Amino acid sequence: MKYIITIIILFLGLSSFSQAKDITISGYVREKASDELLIGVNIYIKGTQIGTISNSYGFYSLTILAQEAKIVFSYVGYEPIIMAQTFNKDSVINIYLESNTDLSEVDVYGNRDEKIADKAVMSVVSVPVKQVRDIPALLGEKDVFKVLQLMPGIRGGSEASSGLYVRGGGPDQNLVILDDAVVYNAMHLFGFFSVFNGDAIKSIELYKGGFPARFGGRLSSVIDMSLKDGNRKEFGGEASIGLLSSRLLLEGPIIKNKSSFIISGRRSYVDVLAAPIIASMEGGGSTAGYYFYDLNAKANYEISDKDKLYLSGYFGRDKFYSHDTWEDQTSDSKLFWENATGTFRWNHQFSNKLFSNTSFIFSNYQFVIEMEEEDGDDFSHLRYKSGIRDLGIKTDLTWVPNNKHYIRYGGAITNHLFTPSAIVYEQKGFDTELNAKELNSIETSAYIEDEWKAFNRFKVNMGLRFSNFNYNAKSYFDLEPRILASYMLTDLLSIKASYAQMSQYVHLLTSTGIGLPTDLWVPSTDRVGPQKSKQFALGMAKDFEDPNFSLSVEAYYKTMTDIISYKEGASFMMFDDPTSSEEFNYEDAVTIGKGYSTGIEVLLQRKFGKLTGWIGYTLSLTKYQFDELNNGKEFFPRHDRRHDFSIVGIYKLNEKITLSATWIYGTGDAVSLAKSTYTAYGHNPSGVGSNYPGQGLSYFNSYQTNHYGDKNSFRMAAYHRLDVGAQFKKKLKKGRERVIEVSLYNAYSRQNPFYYYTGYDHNTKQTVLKQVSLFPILPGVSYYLKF
Amino acid sequence: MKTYIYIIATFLILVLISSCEKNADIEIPDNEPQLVVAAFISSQNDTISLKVSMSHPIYYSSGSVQLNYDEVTAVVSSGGINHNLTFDNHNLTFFSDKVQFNAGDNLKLNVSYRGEKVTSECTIITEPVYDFEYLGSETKTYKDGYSEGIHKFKITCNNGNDINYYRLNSNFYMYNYWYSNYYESDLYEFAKGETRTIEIRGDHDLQADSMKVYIINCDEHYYLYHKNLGNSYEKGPFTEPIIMYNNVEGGLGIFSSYNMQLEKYEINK
Repeated sequence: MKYIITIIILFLGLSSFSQAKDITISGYVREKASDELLIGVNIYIKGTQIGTISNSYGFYSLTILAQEAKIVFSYVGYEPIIMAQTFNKDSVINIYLESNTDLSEVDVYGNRDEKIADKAVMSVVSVPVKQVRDIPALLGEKDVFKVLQLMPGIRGGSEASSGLYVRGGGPDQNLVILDDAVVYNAMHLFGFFSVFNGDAIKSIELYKGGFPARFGGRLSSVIDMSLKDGNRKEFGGEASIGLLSSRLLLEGPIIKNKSSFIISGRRSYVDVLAAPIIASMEGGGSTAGYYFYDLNAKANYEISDKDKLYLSGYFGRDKFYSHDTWEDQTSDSKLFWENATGTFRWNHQFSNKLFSNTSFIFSNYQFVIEMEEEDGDDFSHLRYKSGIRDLGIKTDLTWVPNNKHYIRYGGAITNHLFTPSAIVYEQKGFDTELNAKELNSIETSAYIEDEWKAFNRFKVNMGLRFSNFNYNAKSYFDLEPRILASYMLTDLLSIKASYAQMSQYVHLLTSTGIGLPTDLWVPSTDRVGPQKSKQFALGMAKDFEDPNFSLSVEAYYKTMTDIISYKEGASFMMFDDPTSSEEFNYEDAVTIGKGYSTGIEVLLQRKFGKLTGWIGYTLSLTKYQFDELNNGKEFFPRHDRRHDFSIVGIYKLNEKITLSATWIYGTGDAVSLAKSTYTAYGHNPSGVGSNYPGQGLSYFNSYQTNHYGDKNSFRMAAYHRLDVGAQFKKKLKKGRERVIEVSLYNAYSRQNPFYYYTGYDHNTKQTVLKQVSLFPILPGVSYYLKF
Repeated sequence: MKTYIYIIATFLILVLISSCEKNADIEIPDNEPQLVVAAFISSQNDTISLKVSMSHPIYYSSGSVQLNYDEVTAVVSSGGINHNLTFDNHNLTFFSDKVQFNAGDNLKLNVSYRGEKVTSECTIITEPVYDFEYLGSETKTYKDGYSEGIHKFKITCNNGNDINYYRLNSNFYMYNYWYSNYYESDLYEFAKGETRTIEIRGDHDLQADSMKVYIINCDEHYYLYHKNLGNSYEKGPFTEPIIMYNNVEGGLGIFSSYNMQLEKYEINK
């Protein structure tokens, strides 16, 4: 309550900050060549702490005293612009920044926007899309998520997986947003690649703590991505051919300087290339294959200087299929999962201080298995489906009343329709439909946050988020306070602290802990409540002027309550025999627990010069506790990783050649490994029906059992890997550019364990632990053309 | 051209499915045979029965480990009195038939074998105190024609602990001969004074004419152990393994206490 009163007082007092001589400079910042709106551009008065940044739609508003001033517009990778003049009335100034392709030539003003010490944010990872392209990748497939995994506090799942585990949280605790729409399963090929095609992405920001109040709905991270708007000046495109897939991007104006579009697609072609081989092996009676594709599209229209419309969408699908024919029998099976999102947005500028965006959002994810058999007149058909569909509306407003406050507020309402699992089985003379229950729920939220420059060196971002979730008659409410404070000890050194509470009303039931499409999204119900977390973080940020390094050190402690997991022995496949008509209720298969994660993260980064990159290290500890798992004792989740180390280096040898390398090291995963087997005896009270009658009333039943020790008490071998790459660039005629990239994944062919199994060694005649490694040294080559 | 496509396709398939397999170069902790014990003690019974066996390491071991029972020493002590258990060759069980324990007695188990020692403790539990009412039965017929009798009972736990661990084990009889058991989950946590309606299945095709329900008040060790045991069989590749409950120091197994009452009902009349 005190907090609310404080906020009201703060608001009431805002008018007192406004002074008669204040004038407001506002406008949009765009890229000169394409008119693309730029997000997060620093706008400040040179030699002062007065400044602002452009929002997610390129809009900025800066209120200053009427005076002669030098306003600097700077953004990493672009030539800064300095406007030196007398500002004595409200002005609209639209800025066009020119790309600076050689970062080493960025002048002294360019250094400022990379200072982390004076930013009122912490626990945020921001990777320039250009840098993603320079980092070597598996088979040359550039992947935004795999670059994020190289940052401290973030780890991937198993070998080559794009799954993200942030500060001890599970893969379900990441809010992945693409143009305001939630993407529920961001994986291709069982997690080897993320669904995000870097060509069409404009910006990526990952919050792992210190969450602003505008974000909510997940416990561990927010990954906020924006698609490019498309070139408003001229047509162009990009194409690339890799070993696994090819991509094509086209963009251009629909109405010059008024409207533009961008469309980007990618498809894998292993199925096409393998088809003749499979056909020759199977004699033509069988086909099988796998492919994935994704498509991003966006169009925008500028109604007026103050109103803009955007329509964007994403569709992606992974599909395995097989077809067998023999004599008069046929068998078809397919397994696919697909994401579709759509966002319609309306930007409106109420004044030079108030900006709004309203989004209508659609998101759908489904996972389907289908099997069909025909044998003469007989047939059978089995279809399993799970999924989630969202429909929502969201409004966000940005109000910049003066140069001390940057206020954001808004709200959202989303209808979630869950299908945890639906099974349809048809057979000649026998049809049944099981568990086809759809669970409908409404999630609402409202928030307000203010980035307040309390003093010259002291900034606070404080906010409050209200969230509500309704499922049937059950309703959950929560107030989530967020606060982040930053104090600059010197111009180059600051200390920061944050606290955030988060609530999560949708759960992912995962059987394997590695984020497969088989995992089920389910709502909070009267039996399974929302997950909650509290996170404290304390850190320091230090910039070094020469050489241009930045160093951040953060310590965090996060608690998580009401997290869910399958009970031991349960899985998504736990449905009853269709003949029994018994319904499987996921609520019976889950158990509720809690957990904590604590750690220290160190990041030394360089974004300028010939040699760029970073060194990251994380020391962390994560433990979970469920009353019904591991006999109620605490245990390490599979993704607990004590040490995580990464080095990323990108070296621009000259204008034509860029060399890059990454090396990562991580403590092995925590897994349960059966160490021995034994006969466990149970008590059979009556003595009848026993398989081993004993004496008197105390009879025994016997069960052959494995001894695992505590859950996940076995550590897999440590993971480490070196990737190297080289890019050869060439400028072609008419502004075209081509890049040939060669890379080596796992350059020293480390055999990292993917999983273990029990095998037999014929030499020693002993049962042994066998290790399967997925990828040895793998070359990759790709060809990229920009036109 | 076709040749090139084949070469590229073969390379891609090799790349995608290539996996390396080798013996894992990693130490496996606790990879030694361990003593395994099991005993369920009741004040209603003057016999202690104890199962003793050895676990078999899965990795890097040549064959199973055989226990030489003559070298096993098993002692249950309570209140300063030691009960040495002797081996019964017929049932392969260690036992002592001249014991008398009372609720609240603390028991200690010591088992040793060739220098290995395991210990455990439990406290003798009181009898179940409850109200029990048979509510009748209903018949459920499934699509495949199978019918099953579902018998409903109301039970109120009157034991004094905040949490009471109960097991309701039931058998069905036909003409006084055992017909079937109900193997499904039969373990319950009761708060003091809590009432539950219990459904007992297993009356296949409604052919039983009587049933016995064993109402067991057990300690937490008994409860957790049997909860794991009922789940211990493999249920598929996506399930997490069952971590067996263990209250034996230095080894594996269970040493626990229970107290049992019997209710008998005529059914399907």
